[in-house]
Amino acid sequence: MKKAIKHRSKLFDTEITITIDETMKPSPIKGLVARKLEQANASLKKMKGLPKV
Amino acid sequence: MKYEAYVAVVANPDFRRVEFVSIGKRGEISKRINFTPTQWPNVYNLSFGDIIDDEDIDDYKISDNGDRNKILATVLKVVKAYTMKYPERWLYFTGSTEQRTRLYRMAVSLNLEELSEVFEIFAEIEGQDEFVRFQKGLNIKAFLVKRKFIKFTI
Repeated sequence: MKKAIKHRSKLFDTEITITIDETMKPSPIKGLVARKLEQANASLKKMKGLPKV
Repeated sequence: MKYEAYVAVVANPDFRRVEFVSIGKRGEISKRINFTPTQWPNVYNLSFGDIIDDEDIDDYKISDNGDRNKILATVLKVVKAYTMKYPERWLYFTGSTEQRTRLYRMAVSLNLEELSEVFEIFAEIEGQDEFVRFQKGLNIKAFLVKRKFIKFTI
């Protein structure tokens, strides 16, 4: 089953329609996704923590 | 300030994988955005690039499809939709190269006023161990953003 979510912002002229595909699976953690995740984890590990907001 | 963006975007149910098609002078190029959980609770890594196959993407490739701003605007729209769905999550992202990171910095700088209404925007700076609030002109290694908490008063 597919359902659509519409999203509008004043930054943009156009309204975005995001169609949810129930059959689509998340990407596996390999290749570029894995490399970027490794970089992110390494960088975050060096930081004192998340900003307080 | 208004930007054109791709209007047709497909996502899996939890938005960890989002795809759209860039249409330009070199034809149609499929793009994918991944939101992947890091080791830290509520911090997700954003990766983005041309789709290689069902499992991998390429973020080094220069597509030269003539629609760079439209692609950036689409990614930003997806980030807005994602953080609307998950306002408690932080998104960490960096460019594949220093040039790309600089491009993201310029895009944020140019639209800082509008973006700051929606997002808390922080930057990781080389050699520093704390995230700093985004300012124009910083030498940024990575970005960390979160949906701004908007307090309504009656």
